[in-house]
Amino acid sequence: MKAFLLNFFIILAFLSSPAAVMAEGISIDYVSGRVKDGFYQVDADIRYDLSDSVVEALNHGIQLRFDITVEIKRVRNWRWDQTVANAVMSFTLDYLPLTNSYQVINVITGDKRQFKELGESLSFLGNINNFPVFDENNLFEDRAYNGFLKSELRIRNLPLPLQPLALISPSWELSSPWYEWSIQ
Amino acid sequence: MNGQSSKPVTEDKNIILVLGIILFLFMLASLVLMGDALQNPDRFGEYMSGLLIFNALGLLALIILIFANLRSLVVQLKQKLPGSKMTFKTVSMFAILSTVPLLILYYFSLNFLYQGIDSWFNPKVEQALNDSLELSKISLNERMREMLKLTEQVANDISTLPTEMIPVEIDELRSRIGAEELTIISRQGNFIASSSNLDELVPASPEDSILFQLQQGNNYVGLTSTTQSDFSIQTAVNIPILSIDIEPRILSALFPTAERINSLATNIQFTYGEYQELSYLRDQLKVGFASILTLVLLFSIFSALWASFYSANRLAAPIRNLADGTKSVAEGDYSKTLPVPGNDELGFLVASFNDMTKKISSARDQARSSQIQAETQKVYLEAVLSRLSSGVMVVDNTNIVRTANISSNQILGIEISDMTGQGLEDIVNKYNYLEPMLSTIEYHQEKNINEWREQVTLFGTSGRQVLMCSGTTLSMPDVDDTMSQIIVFDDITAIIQGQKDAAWSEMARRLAHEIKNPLTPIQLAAERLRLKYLDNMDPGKAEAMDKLTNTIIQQVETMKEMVNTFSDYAQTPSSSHQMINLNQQVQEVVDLYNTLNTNMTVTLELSPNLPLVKGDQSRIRRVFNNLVNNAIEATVDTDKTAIRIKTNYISDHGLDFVEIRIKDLGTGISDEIIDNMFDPYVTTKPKGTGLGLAIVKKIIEEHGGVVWLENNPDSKGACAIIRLPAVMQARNEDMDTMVKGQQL
Repeated sequence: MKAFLLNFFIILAFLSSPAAVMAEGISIDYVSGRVKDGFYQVDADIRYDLSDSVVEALNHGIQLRFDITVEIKRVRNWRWDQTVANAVMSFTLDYLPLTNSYQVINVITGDKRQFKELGESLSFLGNINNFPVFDENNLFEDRAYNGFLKSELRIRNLPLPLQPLALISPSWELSSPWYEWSIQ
Repeated sequence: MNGQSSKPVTEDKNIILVLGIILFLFMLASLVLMGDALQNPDRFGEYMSGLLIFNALGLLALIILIFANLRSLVVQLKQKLPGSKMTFKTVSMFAILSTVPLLILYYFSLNFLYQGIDSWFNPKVEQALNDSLELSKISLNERMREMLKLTEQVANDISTLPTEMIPVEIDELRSRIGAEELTIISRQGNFIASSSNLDELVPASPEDSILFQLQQGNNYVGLTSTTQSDFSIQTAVNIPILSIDIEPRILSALFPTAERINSLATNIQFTYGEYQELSYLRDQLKVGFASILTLVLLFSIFSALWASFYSANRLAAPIRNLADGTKSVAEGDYSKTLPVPGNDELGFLVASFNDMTKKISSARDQARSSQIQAETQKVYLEAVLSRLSSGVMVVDNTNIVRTANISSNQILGIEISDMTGQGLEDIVNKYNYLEPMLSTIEYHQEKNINEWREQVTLFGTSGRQVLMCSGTTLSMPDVDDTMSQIIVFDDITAIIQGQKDAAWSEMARRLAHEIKNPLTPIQLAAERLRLKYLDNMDPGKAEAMDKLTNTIIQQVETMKEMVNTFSDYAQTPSSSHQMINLNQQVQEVVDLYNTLNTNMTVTLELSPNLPLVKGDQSRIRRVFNNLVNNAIEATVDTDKTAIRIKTNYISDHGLDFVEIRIKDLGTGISDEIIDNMFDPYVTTKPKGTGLGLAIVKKIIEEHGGVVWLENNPDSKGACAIIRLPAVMQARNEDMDTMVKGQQL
């Protein structure tokens, strides 16, 4: 019974985590796009503020995976906007205990970068440059397009025991709102 | 509610049962998948969240079901519905029996689970891993320090080289110290020269933190990863400034580690990381397993509770139905058929109940049919009885009147058909004149005579009444198995009187005829004897002749009078009845006798409010003449003739009559003949014909009255009493109107 009560209170504590952690999360400061080298490429400044719980998990060897999703939608007057492109850039963030550093890996390219400080790795993560979204031939000048970008922590990539907690705890709610910009 | 209306309820219950079983199976499968996913995330890990939500919703559905059942049970308990207490007890018992073992199992499982997870983490293993990591760090640090010295030496060498010689010499310098990459950059991070045997197109630039450290004058050495190796040694040192013309520069180098060291370090780091991760997830694992265990516990308890509610309801339903059925039967509704729950004992009980109600219903229908038949028979009998001219009365052995028909009322002169349930004694106490009838009935009851027939004479307001009663013992099993008597009676007064009168009249008529015929020749013969022989006879013979013929002539006259009297008696009654004031009649008769005999004293006590009677005035006057004459003759031997005549109105229990008492102070009548004084030829007078009182009786009875004689109890002499039915005022007025109408 004691164990049952302990579990009950633990779940209750997770559910009622302080509202202060709500200030933490992912926010997008700036996004711009341009056509370069035959592709529509996107630059973005994303700010990652990880909560203590997430940092603690990271420092204990939990790998964090962030997905940066870009969608390009064609604006239509009387119908739903049409999604013409959808691209995802994924990064993993690990703590390396032997070197006491943080390693960022681009999941698609396999590129690795190590940083002595967590802030540097997060700055690296937040600095998106020349992210090719789709072929410029798919863009038509006489049509209007809107771009949408968001970044989120992929809960399903966390270890399974951690997933229920990450699903219900606000301190693990790492997802930015959609950032919208107009494509001329 | 019958069997048809209970069918949808059963179907609903079956649907709930099927849905409950489906929910149970799905939740069970979901819990199995969750448990599997927790141990083997690769198989069902991605469905974990969905399973968790599904289980939570399933539990919520179970809670709602239990709450609905609980609420229904509370309502049933408050309403004290049959079966509710049994349901409560069954649910409580099931709940305790299922919950307590589950909680015990849960407690021990949780403890074992926690202990099991904790046992994975051995402090010695953790210490060994920490030591391995530390050893790796020390080993690498040794190597790093060496590399830093080499880098510092190269930096000193470069500081002496002219700037233009650096790109030329840098490859040789890199090869000399065995570095993979050697880069010279300005403090602002601009590349000056670089040499590398790596595949990277662009040499890695030191991070800002390293640059900042160098700007502070501190050299840097650390581990970093490259495409070839997870562990490369990165050094960065400030190149000494020997001339102020030369800008501050930084020498950055990448040194490889031995392949073996690299492999071991990678393994140690990976294992340490895994252990750290597992250690960090220990609490989460505990929470995860405990959550699933808790879900299983809640699922089991709620399922058991719901199943207990369902089972209890199923168990109590036949009892509830039986209670409803019993209530319906108590209220007289036998049409209810209960649904048979199965082939068990309860099913047998319910089937027996259905059979019982069916038989009772059939019996009730038969009883109702018999009752209707009996009532029809009763109505038929009543109709027959009411149309019978004979009175029919049923009296039980306690003399309670059970039945009496309408003719009984007419014959007895009372509404005896409305007095059923009353005792004959009570009725006789009200109507005294019925006493002879009661005596007759009681007599035959006491004697246990099954069949009897007897003539009963009553003296009611309508006068003397002769009833021919016949009784039969009747078995009445519905009234305490008692024996009752059915008494059939007819008013034969008129028949008897008619027969009697006819007989006497016939006899009188024949007598008169037979006697009257020879009288005239006798008288004529006697007169001719006198006329022819009296004058010619000797005086002595003539005297005898005269005396004898006179005697003959006188006796013939007497006989003629007697014959006339007989003729009067044989006379048929007059049909011309009218309203008569008896006081007036009495007064006229008394006045006549007062004129004839002045020595006579007649005392009159005439009631002033005497009702009228209906009858033949001349014949009533003859009655008074005869009675007054008898009274005078009875007192002729006394010193003074004294007669007392009294008229009176008597009302007894609704019967109204006029009574006339004619009392003399004579010698009275002996008891032997007083009862036969009104029969013809019964007389106490030496010269009487014996028809005077017979004529009186005949006339009075013709008028529906009654007459009798009694000796005066307080004085000498006898008293003749006449009772004639009185015509009351309302009826008097009607009669007056009738009489006037006839006169007009």
